[in-house]
Amino acid sequence: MKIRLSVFAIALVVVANALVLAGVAWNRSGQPASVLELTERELALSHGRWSSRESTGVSLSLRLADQDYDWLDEDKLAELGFDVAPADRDDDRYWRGQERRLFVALEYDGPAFEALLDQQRSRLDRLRSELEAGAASRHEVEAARSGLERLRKAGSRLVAVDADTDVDALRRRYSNPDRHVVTRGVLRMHAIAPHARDENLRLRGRVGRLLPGEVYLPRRFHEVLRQATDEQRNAIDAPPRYRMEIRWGRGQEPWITAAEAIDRS
Amino acid sequence: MTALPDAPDSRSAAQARIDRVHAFREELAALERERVLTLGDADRQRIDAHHAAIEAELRERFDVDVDESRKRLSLGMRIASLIGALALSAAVFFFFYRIWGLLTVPLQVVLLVAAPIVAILLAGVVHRRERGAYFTSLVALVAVACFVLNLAVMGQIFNLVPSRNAFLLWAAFALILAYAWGLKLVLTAGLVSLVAWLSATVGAWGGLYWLSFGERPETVLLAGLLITLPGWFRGLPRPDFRNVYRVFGLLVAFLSVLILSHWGRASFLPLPVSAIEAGYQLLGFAGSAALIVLGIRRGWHKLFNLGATFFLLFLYTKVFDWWWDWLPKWLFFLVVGLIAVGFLLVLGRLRRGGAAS
Repeated sequence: MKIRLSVFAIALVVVANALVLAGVAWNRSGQPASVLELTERELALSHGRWSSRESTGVSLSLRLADQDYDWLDEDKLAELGFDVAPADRDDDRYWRGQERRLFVALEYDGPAFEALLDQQRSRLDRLRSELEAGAASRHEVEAARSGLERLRKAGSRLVAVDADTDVDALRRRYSNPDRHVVTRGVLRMHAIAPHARDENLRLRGRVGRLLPGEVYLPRRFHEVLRQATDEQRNAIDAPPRYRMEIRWGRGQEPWITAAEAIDRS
Repeated sequence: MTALPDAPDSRSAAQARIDRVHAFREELAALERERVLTLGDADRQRIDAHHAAIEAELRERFDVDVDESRKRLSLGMRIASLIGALALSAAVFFFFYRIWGLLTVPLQVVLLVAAPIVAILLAGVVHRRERGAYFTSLVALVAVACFVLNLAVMGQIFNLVPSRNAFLLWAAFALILAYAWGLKLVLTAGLVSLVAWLSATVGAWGGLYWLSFGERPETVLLAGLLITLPGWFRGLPRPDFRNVYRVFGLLVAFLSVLILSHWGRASFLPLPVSAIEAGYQLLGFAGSAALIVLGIRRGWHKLFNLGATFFLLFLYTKVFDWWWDWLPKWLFFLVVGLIAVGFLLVLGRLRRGGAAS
């Protein structure tokens, strides 16, 4: 019995790994669902990875643009399966929010990113007018200006534009493989309390994290990255130093297929 | 030929038999000193020969401890085995992360798959060479660590979405090795994984993303109670594992109750937070008291200790809530000390009652 049981353990290792590798092969087979050329703005060096003495592997973090998620309102949250029943604002359990694993559509450097830039420009213009009227401070204007500059030069252009429980429906709506990615993500709903006590809580959602949120960089691309970055993280407002070709397969799992340094001279 | 027609089927049962033999010898010597009983030479020789044969057979089969000094050494070896297994598992983890960036992906995969298989084979060789389970336990736990590393790093290399089913695979792997060689330490590692999988699954059914199961301790409470199930049934393989299922499952369940009794917000129950906390406090008191009684009645010492520990924890956290701000410190600690004295008196009465029954 003892020999048979330990053979089962070996069989379990073999079968589990075979299933993992078969899943990887299936994900990467056929036409990729999306092929994007992302830069350091969207694929940042994970903190503590490259420089760590204890790990020689490198993974890059997928970064989403800093956005408002106006499209993720109460109706959309209800459609996605969140419990949006009116809650007692004194029930502190409601503040903890809810979360669900769903499919998320991302758009790269498209109209959604342009809209984010326009939003920042409008805000800057409004603050400048208010400064002239004495209703805003120079500090606020300077913060808005540097925020716009940072978004234009260094911010992520990957914007979450939609979510669904049905991956095929989302793929049909966002079908440009050079601009759209459908991936998994954890969406969180949270409550915002208006100042007036008699008003109901407002519910808002956001993408809490992408799944996976990091992409492994194979060894053959390490040298490119090392030369481009000198193994240091970039300054928050500095332009990107490398670009990567990244593909998403049939199972919404990404992998990096090319890397090159960006010539900034 | 065996000296034992009804041979024990586990090391703990064998150790209990050896302990009974020693107690018999000591009591017989006392009775002879007190001139109550004197055995004839023939009877004495027959009993001594029988006991010597039992000791030899059980030492050979189960590596039992035949005296107190060996028992102390065994305890030391178990502790060393645990520390060694944890340290070697950490060494495997850190070594792989130190070198993985220097390897191509195919080589990484080969190493990751080979490591747990080699460790299983090594554990098998070690098990055949030792009568105890110290080194087997150590190597088997390293095999579990290698399999955890295997699936975790495969997920990183191929950018896979984290899945709770990895915990089920790790649990199955550890349980197979534990049952193959009778390793309680490896069983415990498997149960940790099983609790994580059960909690994540219950959490996912309750609408949580599975990695957030810790935010709702009721998922862990339910998992802990489910884990105890094999501990209540007779006739299952490895009867000496029953105690591990009972103690580990109840430890997990009571920890969850303790957390919920102070953090009612985290409950799934659609009730006011104060009602939830009061309910879990009552459940904690009643459950730990029931465990004390059960431990005394059945002679399950570890369950008794667990119940007594949690009863005091529930009591002292409640006393702190009620009186820390309200009472002068000297009076607070006097109350705490008096509660401990009262607890001793109650346990003493239960102990006498248990002995009488």
